This record gives sequence, structure tokens and C-alpha cells, in this order.
Amino acid sequence: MVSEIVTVTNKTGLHARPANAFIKVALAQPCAIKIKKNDKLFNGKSIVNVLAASVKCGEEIELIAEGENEQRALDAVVAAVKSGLGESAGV
Amino acid sequence: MRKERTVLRGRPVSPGAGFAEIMLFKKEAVKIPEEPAADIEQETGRFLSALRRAVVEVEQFYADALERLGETEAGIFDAHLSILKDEYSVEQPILDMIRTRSLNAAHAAEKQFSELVELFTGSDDPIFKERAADMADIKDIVVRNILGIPKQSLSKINRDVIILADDLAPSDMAGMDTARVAGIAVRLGGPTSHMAIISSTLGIPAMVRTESWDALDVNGAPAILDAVHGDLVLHPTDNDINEFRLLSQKLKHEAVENTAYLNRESVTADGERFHICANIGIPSDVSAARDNGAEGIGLFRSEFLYMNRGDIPTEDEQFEAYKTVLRAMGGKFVIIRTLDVGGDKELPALHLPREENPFLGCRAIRLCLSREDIFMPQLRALLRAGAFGNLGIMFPMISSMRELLAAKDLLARAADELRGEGTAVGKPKIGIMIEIPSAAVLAEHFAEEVDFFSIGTNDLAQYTLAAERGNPNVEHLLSPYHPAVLRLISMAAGAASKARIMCGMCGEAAGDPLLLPLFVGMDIRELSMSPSKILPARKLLCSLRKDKCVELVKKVLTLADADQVKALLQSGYE
Repeated sequence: MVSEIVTVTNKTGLHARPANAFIKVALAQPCAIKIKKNDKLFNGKSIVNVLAASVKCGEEIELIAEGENEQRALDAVVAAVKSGLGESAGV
Repeated sequence: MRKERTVLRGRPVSPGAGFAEIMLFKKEAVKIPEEPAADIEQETGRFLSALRRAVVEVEQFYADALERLGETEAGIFDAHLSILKDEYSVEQPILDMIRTRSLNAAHAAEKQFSELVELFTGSDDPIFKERAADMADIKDIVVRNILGIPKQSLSKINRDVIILADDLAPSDMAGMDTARVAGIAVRLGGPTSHMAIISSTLGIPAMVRTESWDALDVNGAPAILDAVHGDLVLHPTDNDINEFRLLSQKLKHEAVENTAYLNRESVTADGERFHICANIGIPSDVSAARDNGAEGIGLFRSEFLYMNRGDIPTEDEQFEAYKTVLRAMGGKFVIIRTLDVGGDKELPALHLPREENPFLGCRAIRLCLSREDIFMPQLRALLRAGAFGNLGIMFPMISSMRELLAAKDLLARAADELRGEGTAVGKPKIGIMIEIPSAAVLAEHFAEEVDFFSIGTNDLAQYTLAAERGNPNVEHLLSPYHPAVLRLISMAAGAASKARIMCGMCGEAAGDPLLLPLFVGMDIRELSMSPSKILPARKLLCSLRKDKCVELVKKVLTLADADQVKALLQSGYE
């Protein structure tokens, strides 16, 4: 199991569209992806779980990957969150 | 039941006014059968095929919305599709309930989705709370498909109406006959609800949080929706009707005034020609730019081609995207910014190392110069596309001359390669973003090496004021009204005028009506903004006199802080 703490910086947090962009990256990974927030675990491949985590802009979450190719998978989801999940970042 | 004049207050979310009869849109309560499943296999099969039909139905909504509203607004249905396909929250638990508790399919689906609705209703964040409505919407679609009940529809309305409802779900609005809808008022919802966004995109007057009408006989009642002030007037008097006419005339007048500027050139009252252009992110945004009378594209953020994917777009893919935009804009000037990622804007495909201070790290041109494998295909694609229109290639985050010269060398090399291969190459103009203070300070030198500048106000303010974008604790410091930022902008613009090259601006400040007179006075001839801001900006610009604006700039540049600047600009400065 590998994990990394990231700050969600896109302006609406893990809201409908960004959450959708997140699970699309998570679903492409061969291993389990989880989000940990306030000691609660959420399934990163389930949009309902990701939405239910109710992650807002500026909040820190722990991303966890466990299983096949876990480091690569973790890097991919971390990078996706940092890229703003398709939300425009202005100029 | 009263039939006299009644006013229901609400919160406007899409300004406008409408006068028509009320159509009460009430969803029939679906009765969920509670008898246990007779045959488990048959019941699971029934559920799975209903789920597939629900997916097809939502895919249809998505396709319709894409066509009618564009990609951003249609995104909600894409999210709905992900929810329907979320096996962990939909398929598995519902199948489990059917198998282990012998519930019938509709009952199991109802139970599971009600839990999901509950989950979101409990959130303390209004944005997430609104997702409860999405879950309820999806529940209805699935349950209807299991029970074989046809969708209740707003697609066939035979008269003009104001729709009054508890709420309108995305699926209700998907097939709505918008030509018949004079207004929408809902009891629930909020300013960021789907209904609010769609109504304002389609220009339908709308309000949310409407006061209760339970004690009233509303269906079919004549009504005026004033979604400027937030009033729904039932059984209006002659006086109300007169006021409505005045208001709609005023609104129409404003809209016509704006459209009157659609095909006009941006020329000040004393005859100085400017260009008001659009910022775009993806090639299909060009239609919004054209619909709003853009006189060019001042910023095409190429990084969007690289996002939401696991690999780098190929040279050919990029070429097609750039060519599409250039062709669609005819001969108008189109500035494409080379890849601006790294630092805070990461791309999964690049696997970049994490940095302590991403805003000060290896991003944009710094990254591209260190990664020719990424940069060269983009430069080649740009040069090839340049043969199909009037292209400007713009390098972001230039802080020193060495970077600019290195980027220009690579561009020249790419052009040589292409010519060697016998490929047509355009003659694009070359420019840089002025978004780092050093570039503004040394603008006179940079002006000798490029054809144009474009000032990025957001980053310029961030780097000048040492206040990170997106950090709420320093947000109050980050202001484009700060005289230090304005002086740097003025320096860059002055250097461009002196060298007789074009100076543009593509930051958010370009569309700010308070700052626009300053930029006119500074001789920033190309102002690029979101498409929706173009017409109001052009209208304002056409009313300005450049000589007066020059005076204003002088006055503003003597001030000491952002508040003083803002106060002066708001005062009407006479």
C-alpha cells in the first residue's frame, strides 16, 4: 500500500465534474484507489463515494493505492488532482 | 382558494421578465410495489435491463444537451452517466438486495437511491447538498425504467407558460420546449443548481427559493415573473402589466444595444481602433467567440488539449485542433499559447516531480525548454497550422532574454525541419506573455525580439504582490487595482508602443469595466476576455475617448494603493 497527501486546489473541490474526471483516472488503474478524509475511507472508483467525501477547495486528502502497480497508480491520481481535474485555472 | 393579486418572492438566478399563464409541473408520485420478487433470476435480469435503458436515456440527454448548450453545461449528464455506471453504489448493492432480501427490482432501487439522496442531503456544503437532487433525478429514471412508466415531459407545451415546480431536474429540462417557456420559478434549488445554469445559458428568466403557493389556486393563473427583482406576481393588475411592459422594454433595449455592437468594430469615440477578442480553451469554444463578435482569439490555452488523458497529444492531433480554430476565425488574428503546465498545473501524462513552490518552479516555458520531446511536436504542429490562418505563437512565463532566444531557436529549427520535409509552413507572429515582473521591467528589450506582447494580469499580480493565487488567506492582497501592478502593465505597454509592436492583454482584468478605460489609455490595443464579456466591453469602449483615458492613467499611476485606485475608478473621475 502506498499513499500521498494532496491538497485539492480546483475551485469547486471534488464536485460533480471534477469528481467525474477523478474517477475516470481511478478506474483506469489496475489496483484499488481510496480517498481518506478525516479518518474516513472512500472508494476512489465510485463517483458516489467520491462525491460523498465532500472534498472542498483547499482541503487535504490522503490518496491510497493498493495492489498491482500501486506506485504508478498513485502517481497518476495525485497528478490528476493537482492538475485541477479539468477545471480551468484562468490565465 | 383566492384568485386575487399575490406576490411570491424568490431569488433571481437568470435575469429577465415573462408574462404568461402558470403551468404547475408536479411529478406524479410513483407507487413502488412492495411484494417480494417471485423469481430472483428474473428480477435481477429485469433490473439490469432497466439500468441499461436508463443509461441509454441519459446518453440521449447528454447528446441533446451537447448540441443545445455546449460541453460545459452538458457535463452534468456525463456525471449522471458515471453515477448510473457506478457499480459499487448502484448495481452491486441493488443486486444484493434483490438476491439476499428478495426485494423486487423497483423496491430495491428505490431503497438504494433513497440512501444516496440521504447521504447528500446530510452534507453541510450547499454545492454538495444540491447533488441530492441529482440522485433523486437518477432514482426516478431508474425506477421508471423498471416499472415501464413513460417519462413525464415538458417537451410538448401547446401555449406560452411560466413553469412553477418544486424543482426541475436536468432530465426535466433536457427535452423542454424552450420556445414556449416564458419563465421558471421553483421552490427549491439554488444559484448553482442545474436549472439556474441552463436557464441563464438559454436566456429564460428564472428564480429559485420561491415562496410557497400551497394555499393558492395557481395552475393556469396569469402571472408575471420579474426575475430581475425576484417577484412572481399572480393575477397581475393593469398596473403590474404596465410595469412589466416597461421592464421588458428596458431589458430588450439593453439586449439590442449589446447586439448592435456584434458586428461593429471596437473604435473609441475619438476614432482609435482596438480589438476585443476571446479567450478560449478548446476548439469548439470558437463558436461562442464568434457568436459574441470576437475580433480575434487573444488566448487559446493549448494545455486543455493535454488534459484528462494519459498520454501527450500527437503532432497531428494538435495540428488539427489548431487548424480548426484558425480556419473558423477566417483571417482574424489567433494567438495560441504554447503549453503552460508544470508547477501547479500538472498533467498526469508527464509524471513530473513534485515541487516545494510550484508557482516558482519548473512550469510553462521552463518545462518546455527542458523537454524538447514535448515542445518540438507542439512547435511543428503550430507552424503547420500557421499556413491556414493568421497565427500568433505565444510563449508563457518568460522571465529572461535567454529563454526567449532559446524558444525562438527551437521554433526556427522546427521550421527548418518542416521545410526540409517539404511541408508547408506558415509565417506566424511571435510573442510573449508579460506575466513576470522582470519581463515587464525589461519590456523594451523584449520588444525588439518579438511581434507582440500579451499581458497576463492574474500571474503578473501574483508575482508582483507575492500573493499566491487560490490561497484564501492572501486573497485580499491579490488585486489588479494595485498601483504596482498597473505601473508594470503601463511599462510593458509603453515599451510596445515605442517599438511599434502590438500589446494585448488576456488576463481577467481585460474584461473588467472599471479597468478598461485605463487599458485604453495605456494603448493596449487588443483586449481578450471570456466571450460573454465582449459585447458589454465593446459598448463601453466605443463610448470612451482615448485622450481622456490617457489623462486618467496619469492620475491613477500617482496613487499609493489599490483601494484608492478602485475608489477613483468608481467615482466616475470627473
